[in-house]
Amino acid sequence: MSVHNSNAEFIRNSLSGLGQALEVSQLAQDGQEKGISFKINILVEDPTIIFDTCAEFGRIKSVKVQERS
Amino acid sequence: MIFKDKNLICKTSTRPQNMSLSYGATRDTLSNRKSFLADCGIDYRSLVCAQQLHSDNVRYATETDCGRGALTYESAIADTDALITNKKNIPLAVFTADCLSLFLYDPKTSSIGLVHAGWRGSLKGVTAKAIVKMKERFRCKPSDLYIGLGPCIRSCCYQVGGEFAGLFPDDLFLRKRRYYLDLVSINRKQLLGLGVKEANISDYRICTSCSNKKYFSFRKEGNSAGRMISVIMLK
Repeated sequence: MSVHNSNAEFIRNSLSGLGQALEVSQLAQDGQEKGISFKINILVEDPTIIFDTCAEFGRIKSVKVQERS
Repeated sequence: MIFKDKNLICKTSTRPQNMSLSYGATRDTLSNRKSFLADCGIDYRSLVCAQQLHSDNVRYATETDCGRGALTYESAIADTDALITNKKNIPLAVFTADCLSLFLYDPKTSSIGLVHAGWRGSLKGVTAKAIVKMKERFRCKPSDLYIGLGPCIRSCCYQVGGEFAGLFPDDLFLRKRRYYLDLVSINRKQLLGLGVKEANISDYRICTSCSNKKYFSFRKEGNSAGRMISVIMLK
C-alpha cells in the first residue's frame, strides 16, 4: 500500500489488534513515486477488515490472499 | 428470491458488484461477497465454490467443504460445475455472466443443488447429472423437485455459429440468417426428461444481454464482464 501521512509504527499499531503475525515493512522508494510504500503481512480470519482499515491510510496497490493449510 | 421457503436462502446478485475471484480485484470481490451474503445471513468465509470448467462433474458438499473458494480461487473445488447437499448451513455458490444457474430444491428430502450450465455443460448434461446424483444420494424424486432458473443469455441474444446445429438441432433458431441458441430449453428438456414437473420450474425469463444494465453479460461486455453469484443454502 502507498501512504502519505502515516508511518510504519502508526500502521502497526492500527492493525495489531486485528490479527496475528503482523509484519509491516517499508519498501524501497521508486524515484517517480509519491508517498511511502509498505508491505503488510497479517494472519486474519476476515481479510476484508484489513482492506477497510488499510484503505483509511492510503491506497492499496495490490492484495494477495493465501489460506492457511 | 427464487423460492420462498423459510428453510431456504436462495438468491442471485446483480451488477455492479463483481463476485468472481478469477476476474477483477480480490479486495473488491471479497468486500462485495461479504456485503451481499451478509444481507442473506451468510458468512462469506463459509461459501462453497467450484472452479467451474464447463464440466458435468457434480460434487456432494459437506461441512469439510465450507470455505473452499471463499477467499481464493485456488482453494475452490476443482473441475466441478454442480454442487449438491442435504446439510444445513452450507452455502453453495456458482458464478455466471450469461451461463445459466439452476437452483434445485427438494423440500421432502430437504436437499438442494446448484448448477452452472453454459452450452458445454448443457451438452454434457450437467443439470441431468446433478438431479441423478440427488436421486442416488438423497433419494429425491424428480417430481418433488422445485427448480429455479437464474438470469442467463436467452435465445433472443445468444447468437452462435452454424456448427451448433449439429450439437443442438432442436434448440437452435434461425433468424435473419443467424443462429440463436436456447440454453434454457436445453436444460428444461433435461429436467422434464427426468420427471421434473413443468409447474415446479420457476423461470423469471431474464436475459443478461437484454438486461445488461442490471446483470453482467460476457457476450455483451467481453473480458471486462464481472460475474454474478448465485447462492443457495438450507437453514
